[in-house]
Amino acid sequence: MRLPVYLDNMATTPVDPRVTKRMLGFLEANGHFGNPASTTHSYGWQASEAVEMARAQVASCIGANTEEIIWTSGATEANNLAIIGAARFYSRKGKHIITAKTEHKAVLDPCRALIKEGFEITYLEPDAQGIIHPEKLENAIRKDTILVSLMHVNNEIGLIQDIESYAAITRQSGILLHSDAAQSIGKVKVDVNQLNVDLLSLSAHKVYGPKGIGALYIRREPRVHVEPLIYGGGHEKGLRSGTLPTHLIVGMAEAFMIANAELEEEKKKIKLLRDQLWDGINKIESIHLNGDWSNRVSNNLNVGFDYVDGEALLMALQDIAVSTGSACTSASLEPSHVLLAMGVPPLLAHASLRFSLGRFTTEQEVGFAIDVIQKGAARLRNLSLLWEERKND
Amino acid sequence: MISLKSYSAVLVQHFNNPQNVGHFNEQDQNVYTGRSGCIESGDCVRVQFKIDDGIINEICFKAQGSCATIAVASWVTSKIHHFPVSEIGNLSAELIMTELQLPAAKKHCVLMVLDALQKAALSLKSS
Repeated sequence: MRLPVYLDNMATTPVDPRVTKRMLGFLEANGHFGNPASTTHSYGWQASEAVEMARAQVASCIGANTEEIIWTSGATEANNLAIIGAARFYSRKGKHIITAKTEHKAVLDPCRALIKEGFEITYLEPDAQGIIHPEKLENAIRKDTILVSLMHVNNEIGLIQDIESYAAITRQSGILLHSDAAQSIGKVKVDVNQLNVDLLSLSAHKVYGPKGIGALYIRREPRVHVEPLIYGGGHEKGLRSGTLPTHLIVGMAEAFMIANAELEEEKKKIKLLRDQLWDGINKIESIHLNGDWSNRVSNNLNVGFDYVDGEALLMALQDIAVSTGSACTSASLEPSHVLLAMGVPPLLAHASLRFSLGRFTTEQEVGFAIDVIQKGAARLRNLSLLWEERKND
Repeated sequence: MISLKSYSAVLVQHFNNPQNVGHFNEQDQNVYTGRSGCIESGDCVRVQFKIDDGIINEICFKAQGSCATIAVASWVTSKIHHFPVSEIGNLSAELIMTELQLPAAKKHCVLMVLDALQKAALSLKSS
């Protein structure tokens, strides 16, 4: 068993060996290393064929058409292209965008950047479970609203949002709907026509593919437009210039194909382990599960620990790799913006950890993690003045 | 966030194996107690000691806070244990920051532990 035990699969995943194997054929002199944009020789043709096959594969995994997929450097760039690109293209129609307080920074920051260009942003509030209720979206729509951006699976609490209901509202109002689906592939079925989205951001490295590659789905029927953010060669139909990284693209496609083929089996296996982990953690006194339990992806737990400090908890759990949305600089606490938006008290939000299991998580690792977490929490509480006072009350 | 990697080996050692964790009955005549920090912010510490002929012969703490708070409380209580109470005044924040190689952003943890220690010493003077 490798230490620390990796339980941070919503941050990134290791590349699946099947993906690595596929990628290796597109790197070296004896492989298809050519520039896909080279139209004058077979090196370029072979690379281009691989890129187009990968595009078709990724499209098929989300029920899209091949020409609706644009390669990007990852979901962050896809979010930027979708939000800034669409906002600029449709700015004559209106300058109002709706998003949610629980979005990833890769959505919130591009929205904020647009304020400088005269756009107004409305941030929807989640309920205590993290759910963005469709009525809130409906009430926030204005005559000048041009775009709604709401994520599919939340990266911190694993909540699956009701994109179809949002789409029913936006479609009726003639407003574009973008969704960040970086966390979705391999965890839930994604079909762009079922979800009825106009723009969808994808990432490879969250699903056992390589880092540095992602894609943006841009609907063709009805036609959706975005203005490019990167110029220089007119690649990707002029929407995203830059030499295509063939090895990363075929890696992403392979990762998506595997994830789609193994989706149900993997969900079941990971859910069993996640539930086992929760059963173990749930034996600890004064803990809180953050986020809705029933609409959650099967690999995620987000747990707040009362009477311990978030940073001390992370340090006490050094034998497992988990993450927190918290940040502690000097005397100030900066807990997860997602948990705060849900109304989780700042102290508890600061002492909340995200556990995310993955394809390679084993039962032995989960058992070990439970032991580490139980002992770590007990050790810190033994030190804790507040815990002592609570016990004496 | 301050990277956990940036903490020194000595700090990590004190965090992982804190010395002098405990509680004395505050009703005991020879127990001197000082508290500092803010319960609402989740950062607080209590230092207690017992005196024999002007020497701190028993000392303990309880703390809630970051790794730095716990490590500083452990280091400081170890440092002053078996020393005259008057030595408390010689413990400076700068010395502790240097010994534990703490990042400047964690100075508040040091000041809080020193404050608790000084309050315990003050309770001795006023008794």
